[in-house]
Amino acid sequence: MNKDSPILEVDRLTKNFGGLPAVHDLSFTVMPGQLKGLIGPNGAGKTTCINLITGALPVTSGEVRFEGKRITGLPLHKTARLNIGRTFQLLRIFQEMTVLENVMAGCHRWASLGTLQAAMRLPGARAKERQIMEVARSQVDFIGLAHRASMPAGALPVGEQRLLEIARALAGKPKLLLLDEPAAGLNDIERARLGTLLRKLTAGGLSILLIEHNMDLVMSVSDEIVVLNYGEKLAEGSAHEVRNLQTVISAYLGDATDA
Amino acid sequence: MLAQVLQFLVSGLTLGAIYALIAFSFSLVFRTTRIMNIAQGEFSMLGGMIAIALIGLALPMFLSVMAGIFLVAILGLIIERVIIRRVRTFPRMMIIMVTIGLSMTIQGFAVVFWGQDSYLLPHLSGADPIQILGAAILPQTIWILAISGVLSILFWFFLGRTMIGLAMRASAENRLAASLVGINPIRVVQLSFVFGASIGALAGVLVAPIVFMNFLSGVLLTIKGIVAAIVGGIESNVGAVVGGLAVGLAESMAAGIFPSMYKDVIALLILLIVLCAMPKGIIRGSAR
Amino acid sequence: MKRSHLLGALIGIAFVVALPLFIKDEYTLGFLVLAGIVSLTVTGLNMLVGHAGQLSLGHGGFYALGAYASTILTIRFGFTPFPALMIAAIATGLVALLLGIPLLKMLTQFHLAVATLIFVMLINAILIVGGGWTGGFTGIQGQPPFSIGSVVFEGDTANYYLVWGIVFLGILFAAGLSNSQAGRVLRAIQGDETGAQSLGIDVAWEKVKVFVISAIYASVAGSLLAHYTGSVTPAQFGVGPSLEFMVMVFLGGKGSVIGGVVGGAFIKLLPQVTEFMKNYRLLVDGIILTGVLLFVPQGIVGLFKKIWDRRPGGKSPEEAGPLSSKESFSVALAKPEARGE
Repeated sequence: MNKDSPILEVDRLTKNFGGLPAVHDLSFTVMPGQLKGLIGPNGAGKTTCINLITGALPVTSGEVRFEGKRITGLPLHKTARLNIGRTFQLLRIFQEMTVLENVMAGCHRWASLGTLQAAMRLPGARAKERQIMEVARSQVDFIGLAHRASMPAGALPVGEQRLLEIARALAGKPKLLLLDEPAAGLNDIERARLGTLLRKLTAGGLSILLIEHNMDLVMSVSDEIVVLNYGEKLAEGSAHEVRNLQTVISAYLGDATDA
Repeated sequence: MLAQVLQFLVSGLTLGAIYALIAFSFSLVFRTTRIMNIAQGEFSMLGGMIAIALIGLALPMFLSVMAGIFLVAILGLIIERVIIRRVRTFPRMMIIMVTIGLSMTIQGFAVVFWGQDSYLLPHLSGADPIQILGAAILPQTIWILAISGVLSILFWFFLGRTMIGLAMRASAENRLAASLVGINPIRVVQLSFVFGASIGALAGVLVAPIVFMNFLSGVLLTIKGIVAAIVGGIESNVGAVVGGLAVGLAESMAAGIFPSMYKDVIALLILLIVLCAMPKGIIRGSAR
Repeated sequence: MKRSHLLGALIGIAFVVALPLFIKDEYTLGFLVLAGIVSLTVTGLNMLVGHAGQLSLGHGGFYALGAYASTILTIRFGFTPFPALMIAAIATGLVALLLGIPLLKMLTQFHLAVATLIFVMLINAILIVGGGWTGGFTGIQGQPPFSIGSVVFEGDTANYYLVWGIVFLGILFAAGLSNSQAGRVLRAIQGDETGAQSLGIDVAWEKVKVFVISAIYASVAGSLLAHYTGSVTPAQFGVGPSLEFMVMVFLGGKGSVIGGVVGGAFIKLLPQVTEFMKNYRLLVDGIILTGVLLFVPQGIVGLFKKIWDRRPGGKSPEEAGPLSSKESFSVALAKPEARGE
């Protein structure tokens, strides 16, 4: 996987819901180690886009390529197995499990521990379990939730739950991380911390596609930004370039709820 | 030949009408409460058994039947108040298990009062079959089809044309929005549950003369009604009717083709296959 | 393994091993054997229901398959009990596999519940009309006592140790599953299926796996039942007994490894306390189930755990988790499903 070829390519992606185009002819790339932002007003098709990439929704036409290989239409767990992690706009953490257990579950992708092997403590299982525990602990520490490790995830405040979901995704050692509105429900301080965290992650080589509503966050952390409106790409470029484009400004005009 | 086909058709439609009633009740309760009531068939069983018991106490036919329906309706009200209201916010698995618990409890009461024996209710108007085009048709069948038909029309009118019906439909679509425009969702739930229980009981007293009733009858009716509702489309009234008739006709056809000894096995097998084969998305808005 | 757990386990084992020495009454001992048999089934079922969060109202069907398959293999084909049990278990596992693949793809919990209910009714109906093979209503009698090689388990005491020994193995496996990544995967599926998928978990396949495993537990239990009681009839394997397994799951403690034993023992030993249980069995089961769900949804074991966790020096209230059902379900309300998505 060389540095010059994109890790993620979205190629003329189109999704029609019975005649209504939710996403139309969308194309962009994410380079390795890049933090790409995807913004747009409500209903612009951002979450649809992520769902198309991960296979949660079938595409009408177009292609998605990961590390050069076609992944269009692969079901969610298969794209996950390819080292693509994601978080969800509406949190999907495991409420009844502890924080640590949530993250341990995230290790599933690389742990490849069969049911019988695990249950009967066959050779190799013990070592794997130790590995899982180590990786999970380090992720929990890294994300700053060590003090919550044995609490049931459902008892955490929303901000920490968002962090948990990221830690859980990171535990799978992904190469590409798709974040769907991770800042929703966060206050200013939490948002700033999140931004720092994201920059740290890309510095470490992780590629991130960040879908976000909050302009401050996206503008401050993204290397490049794709602007969506009515399912079509409105603009693409650095934060500075995009911010001043007339088209982008007018797309957001009237959207007074934006932070 | 024609007579035979007609015979099967009639018996299929008759059973189908009963299943349609149950499917309709089930669907109505589901749409207004988002709860799938596995105990639905027990209302039918109780209705039939109570009517039978009352007739055994020398009460006149009409009174027994009405009392049966009425008492079950009251039970529905009580269940709604005491249990359904509490469990509405429980996780889905728990809700299903609560209705199972309810079903078992009702069955348990039936065993205590009436043991494990099977009973028949006397026909509404004489047991002598009428000859129509060579087929022997029971007067009870005509009652069932007629009453179901009238009920369908009444409900179509009620749900479609009256304010209360509108309130129920609105609440079924979106409880929060309905409450915001002044509809009391609690009353709607109460009403739909009472309807569900009453119609279930009605189905029970209608079918009790032609099918033996015992404490297990409810479960059988429940699964047939549920499959009928799912097949027909649980979000629509017409769907329940169509589904019910389909299940009834399928059962009748199977009874005609296969030796009667295997009737139950075939019927259950068909139900299982149909349920497994349902395409995704037949039930809208019912996320896991 | 935690020291307190190990201690508890040892005490439990010692208790079970020593019990027959204090009970000379054959009748009670017999019930303890039966309690063990159902505990085995429920322990398996609890992996499916408690961990993976899938409802199966029809495990009585697998129980029946184990019992009848063992019976037919030993009586009609002359197999010895142990190989017969193994073959029956494999056969039942295959049935569960065939059934599980379409079933566990089902849209909702509810579909699964109804489908498994239909399944057990179907098995029951087949047993009744099975005529030559299954003996119809009267079933089949005359199964030899269970034996492994030349060791024959005859009489209540021998069967007690046989059954509870197997229960012990069953619990060992269940505990191993629960405390490992495999258990986490299942609990993740119960927690949020889509979330689990996003971690690379093949949700459908994992569900089928645990479905098959729990079916095998039930089959083994059924085989043991056939050899112990020396008789199988369709009436033992109807809807009521099948639903009773679920009652035991929730009474004992959904998701708890020893919940199966607690629930099973409780329900099976109830008739000992209340003499007139015969007619009241279904009613009592129903009331217990409804009551537990409404008031003590974490079951007996869950309740004890919560109380234990909240002792001075134990976990903090946040760590221990919610105590009342109201609280624990308010946590669940945060789930996307409950919000109606």
